[in-house]
Amino acid sequence: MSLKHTGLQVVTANRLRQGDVVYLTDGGSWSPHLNESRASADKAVVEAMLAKAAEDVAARLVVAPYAFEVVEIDGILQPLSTRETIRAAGPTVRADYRSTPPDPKQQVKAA
Amino acid sequence: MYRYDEFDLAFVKQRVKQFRGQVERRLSGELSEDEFKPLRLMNGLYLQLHAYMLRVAVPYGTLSSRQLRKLAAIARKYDRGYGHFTTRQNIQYNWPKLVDVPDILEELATVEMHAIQTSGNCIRNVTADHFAGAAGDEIEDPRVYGEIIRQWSSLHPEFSFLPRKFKIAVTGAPNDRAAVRFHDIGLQIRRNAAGDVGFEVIVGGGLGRTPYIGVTIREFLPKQHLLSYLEAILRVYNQLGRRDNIYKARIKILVQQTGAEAFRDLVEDEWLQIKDGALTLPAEEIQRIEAYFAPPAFETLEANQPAFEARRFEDRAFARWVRSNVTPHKAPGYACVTISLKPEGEAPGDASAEQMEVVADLAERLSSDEIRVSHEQNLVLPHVRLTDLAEVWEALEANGLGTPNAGLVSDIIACPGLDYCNLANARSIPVAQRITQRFSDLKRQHEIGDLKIKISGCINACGHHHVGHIGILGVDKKGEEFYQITLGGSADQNAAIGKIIGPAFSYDEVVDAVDSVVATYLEQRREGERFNDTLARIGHAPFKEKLYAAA
Amino acid sequence: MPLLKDGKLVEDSWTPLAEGAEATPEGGVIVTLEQWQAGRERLRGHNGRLGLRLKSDQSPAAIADDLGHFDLIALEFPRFGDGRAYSHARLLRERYGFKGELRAVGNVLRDQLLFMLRCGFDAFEIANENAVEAWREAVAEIDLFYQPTGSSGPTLGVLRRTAGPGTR
Repeated sequence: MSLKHTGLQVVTANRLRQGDVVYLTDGGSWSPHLNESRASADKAVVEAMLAKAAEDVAARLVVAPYAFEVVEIDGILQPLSTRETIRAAGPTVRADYRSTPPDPKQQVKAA
Repeated sequence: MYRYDEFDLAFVKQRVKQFRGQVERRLSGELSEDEFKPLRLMNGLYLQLHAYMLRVAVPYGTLSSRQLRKLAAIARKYDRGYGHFTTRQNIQYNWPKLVDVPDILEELATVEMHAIQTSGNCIRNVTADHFAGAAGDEIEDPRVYGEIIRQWSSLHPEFSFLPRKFKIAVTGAPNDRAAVRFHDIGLQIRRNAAGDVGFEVIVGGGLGRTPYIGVTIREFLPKQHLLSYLEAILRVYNQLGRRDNIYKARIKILVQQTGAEAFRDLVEDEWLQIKDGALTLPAEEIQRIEAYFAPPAFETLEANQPAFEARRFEDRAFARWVRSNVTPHKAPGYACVTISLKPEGEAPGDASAEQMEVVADLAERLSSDEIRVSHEQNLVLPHVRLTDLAEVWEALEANGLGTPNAGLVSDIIACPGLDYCNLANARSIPVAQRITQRFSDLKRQHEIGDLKIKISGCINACGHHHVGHIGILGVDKKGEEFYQITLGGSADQNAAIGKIIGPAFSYDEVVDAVDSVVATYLEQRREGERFNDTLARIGHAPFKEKLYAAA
Repeated sequence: MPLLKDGKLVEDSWTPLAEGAEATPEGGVIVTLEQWQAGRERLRGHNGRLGLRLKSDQSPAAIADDLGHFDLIALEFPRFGDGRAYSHARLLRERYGFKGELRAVGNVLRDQLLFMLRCGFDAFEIANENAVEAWREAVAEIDLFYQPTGSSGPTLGVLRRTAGPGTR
């Protein structure tokens, strides 16, 4: 997983047993809320986060971890890509299909 | 329909137990994700954008009410209360938990269902005409052979690690409703000059990145040779299909690169070695399977049913639904009903658990306990008396299932797209929803007539956009969702791959673009001309002119 | 690599012929297809048993006429997903009548054992520590099959098979 970007990155994965989307937090735990994730523009820090994620893969907590870019706007983390926006908020097609209750602090880029 | 016997039931139970063991070994760490992934794929379990996704097999699209009720119960108990019917006649659940999947499979086994081989590089669900056993133009019920092929291909030890997925479709009528020319192997039931029934064997069709129309490698294959011939094709493919590049690994690439004639020779040479061997189908075996697909005991009825005709005359909404969603049946006094899963503004092909139960009840009472899933993401009640149509319609209407749009512009096929799928570049469902809203005037839809729009969220073409009259392909242009439009595709016996009309349209522009294409068609068409006919006559130019007219 | 044969871990009494080696060792020696094709005459005079190792893209048709020289054929599985050797195994057993040891080497996972067995393999290089236990579980998991493999002759009626020992 080469880190080409110099912007802010977070690390995400899916929980192995349940499959839901989670984000790596400051404390090293996994949260369903993007806004609780640890974001860093420091390449070494992101590499360390990915290494922690790899440990949690081996510990059978999560699968398929990777880093992606976000921006911070008014203290809220927003993904740069449509894919990660949808992944964070749930399918755009019906509100009742969301996987976790919407985070009131989370602003999602308008569809 | 086919009923499991002890052998089938025991087989599925063993498979469930085996998968349970595999999940346990994954959770205990004995199996890594890399090792587990091909195993879970062979049981139809994907890891998608938001969650795991489980694809349950619906062999040749046929369900009993008992099975459909179980699918509803699973949606309710283990998922978010709905399921999605796919372009290969299967059902997908979008939110199962890995730890629940062995239990889900065990529950499916109690109604003779499973998720075996709905994913992975193996032989997938065999699909067939959704009007099989009911259509008047049918030579023989293709599901008989769908079942025979299903059994032969289940956990086939030689063909479980193919270069890529393998899809087979069978059709029993000259009007091909199963898109056999766009499958890895397509089988068209035919009668030869002597009146015997056999198969035209078509190989190397497919959509995806490089769409091809399949090539006929054998005009007439007698029934008893069906499995040996398929085995020969698969053996050639397993050995010679490319293993270095997943985008060039389907059999269509092998056929194109080898050349159709040379490919046929390879197959026929292999077949000569094994024909008349252990895979020969004895007539008794075919008859044994045929017995399961014997049509229900239809009443002897008049073709003309006054009560039905009267209702149709008085009730315009009912008449409109009959016009689009009811298809003639081979038995007089009966009809096939298409249940639209494309209501305005909803995700195409989705059905809630409650809706599934309504359909199951109707099927049990009024359709000889049979439901079909069509590859166009609708459901079908294949055997409904004309005199029962009004009751069926009222129940459907009351449950959001009565949209009179089968085959019309709002009967859109769409893949899950970027809302659900890891592979997607763009969303497809919201585009479908917005198109249905643009064309919400049903009168206008009926005026437009048959028009197939198909939307794919990426080049893998799971929405079959190549074979839409209007095809829409979602692409990613510098992080934005854009949509290419193709025209003139067709999945039936007049197989054709759509051609791109011009530069792509943005997410905001694409619905106007579709509106423009339809408007051109309406302006230019002559009496009785369907969309592809008009396109063939006038070409792309008038469409392009209106589409790209200076804003 | 532990070698699993007849449900037991056994000593591997075979040695691969070293690259470019002139003299062939005594005992059982395994050659590659290239070595065989380059040194056929000399190798036929070998004192001990001869084995052949084929890559997944090497069809057994290339050596169909030479099978009488080999007591062992090893077929490679370079990746879990590369399934060519399943076809090669069936061809060796059912088309060319090979009766010697047919060994699966490379990426052999427990979950493939049953498929391999049914295609005619009878020896497996398996990386799992609990190879014997894994084997026993793997072959017991499913004992019903829908397709005939092996040279079982024309079927009457049903295609299905119920497992017997060394089932095909």
